[in-house]
Amino acid sequence: MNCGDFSELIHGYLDKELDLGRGLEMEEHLKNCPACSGAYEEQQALQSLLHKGALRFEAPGSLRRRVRASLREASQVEATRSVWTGPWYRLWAPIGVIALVLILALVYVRPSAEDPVSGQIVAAQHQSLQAGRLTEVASSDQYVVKSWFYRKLGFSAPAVDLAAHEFPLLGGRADSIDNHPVAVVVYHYQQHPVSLFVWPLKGAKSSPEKGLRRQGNNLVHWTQSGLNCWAVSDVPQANLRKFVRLVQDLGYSSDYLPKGTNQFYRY
Amino acid sequence: MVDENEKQERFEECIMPHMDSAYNLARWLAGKDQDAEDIVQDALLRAFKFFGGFRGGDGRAWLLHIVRNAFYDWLHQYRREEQFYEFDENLHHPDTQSDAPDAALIRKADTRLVREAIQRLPLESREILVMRELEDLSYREIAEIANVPIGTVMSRLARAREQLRHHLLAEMQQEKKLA
Repeated sequence: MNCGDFSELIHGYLDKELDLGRGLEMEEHLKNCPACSGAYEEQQALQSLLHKGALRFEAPGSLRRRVRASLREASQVEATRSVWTGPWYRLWAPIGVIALVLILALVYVRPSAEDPVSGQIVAAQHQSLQAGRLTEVASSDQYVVKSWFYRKLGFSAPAVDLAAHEFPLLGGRADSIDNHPVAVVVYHYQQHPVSLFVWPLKGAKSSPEKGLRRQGNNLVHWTQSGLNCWAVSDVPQANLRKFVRLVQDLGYSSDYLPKGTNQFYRY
Repeated sequence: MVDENEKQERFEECIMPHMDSAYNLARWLAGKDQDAEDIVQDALLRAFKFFGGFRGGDGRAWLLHIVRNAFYDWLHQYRREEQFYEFDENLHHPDTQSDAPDAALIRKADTRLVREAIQRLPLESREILVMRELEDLSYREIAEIANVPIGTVMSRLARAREQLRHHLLAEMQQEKKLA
C-alpha cells in the first residue's frame, strides 16, 4: 500500500472503525510516514474542534409542546377510528362473510375475469420493452427519481439504489394500470430489467407477498402502507422475491403517499 | 383505546428522548430554525403513524432516518435545491498542495468560523459530518440512516473533512488579511 491507499483509511482509523488488521497496518504506516501522520494529527485537531465547539442545536421548548399537541391530535384520530375496528366490528363480521361469499361466487361464475391487473402489468412491461422505453427519467439517484414521480403523479414509490445488492436503480416511468396512474420504478438484475409497479390504494390493508407466473414472467404482488405493489421480471421467482424483500426493508414506503393523505393510511 | 395509550407510552419512551438529535440534524440540513421545526414536526408525526413498523432497537437511528427523508421531501417540495447546491470551484478542487497539514493552526480556529465552514459545505458532506461528529453515530448507523453502503460512509466522510479543513483554513486566512 502507498499513501494514497491510506488517505481514506485515516478517517476509519480516527473513528475507530477499522478492523484489527487494518488498524495495525495504519498504525505502522503512521509511524513511518511523516506526511500521513501530519494529516492524521490535523484531522485529530479538527475533530476535537468539532467536539468541543458546542455546535449542536437543541430543540426549543415551544417545538416540544407543538409536537406533543399534534401527536395527541393524531392519536385521537386513531382512537376514533379504532371504534370501527374495536368490538363493533363483530357486527360487521357476518355482513363481511356474506359479501365474501357473493364475491367468490361472482369470480367463479365469471371465469374470464381472471385477475386482470397482472395481465395488464405484463402487457405494459412488454410494451415498454418493445418500444425501448423502459424509463422516462433515467437516473440511479433515488431523489431524482422520487421527486420526478412526485411532480408527475403526486405520489412517489420505493426508488432506492440497490446496486450494493445487485439490483442497481435505472430510473422510472409513469404508466396506467386498471385506470390508475402508476409509478414504475425500473431496476436491473444481471442485465434483466426488474420493474416495480406502484400506486396508492385507499384503505388497503397490508398483505404478504404472493407470487405468480404469467406469460414467461414472474410477478410478486403485495400491499404495504396503503401502496399496491407489483414486481415483474423474467428473472427466477426466488431472485424476484429477494428483490421484493430488499424493497420492503429499505424502501420505506411510508414516505411515498400523496401529501396530506398519509393519515388515512395505516401501516 | 388501550392499544392507543400503550402506543403513546412506548413512543414517549423510545422516540421522544431523541428530539434534540432530530432537531440538530434538521437544523443543520435546512439552515433555518423555522424550517427545521416544520421538518421535525412532520418527521415525528410520520414516526408516530408508522411506529407499528418500529421493531425495537435504536430509536434514534430509526427517527433520524425519518427526519432525513422528511427533509429531502421538504426540499423537493419547495424546490429549494438551488440554494443548497451552489457550486464552489475551490471546494470541489481544493488546492491541497498549497496548504500543508497544520494541526497547530487548526486548533486556533474559533467556534464561529467552524460553524460557518460547516454551513458552507455541500449537503452530502454536511449531513455526514453532523451525523458522525455531532451525533456520534457509528458508520453502520449512518449507512442505515442514509441508505448507503458502509464503504461509502468512509469515503464521504473523508471528502467532507477535507472540504471542511480547506474551508476553515481559507476563512482563517481571510480573517487574518482583514485584521
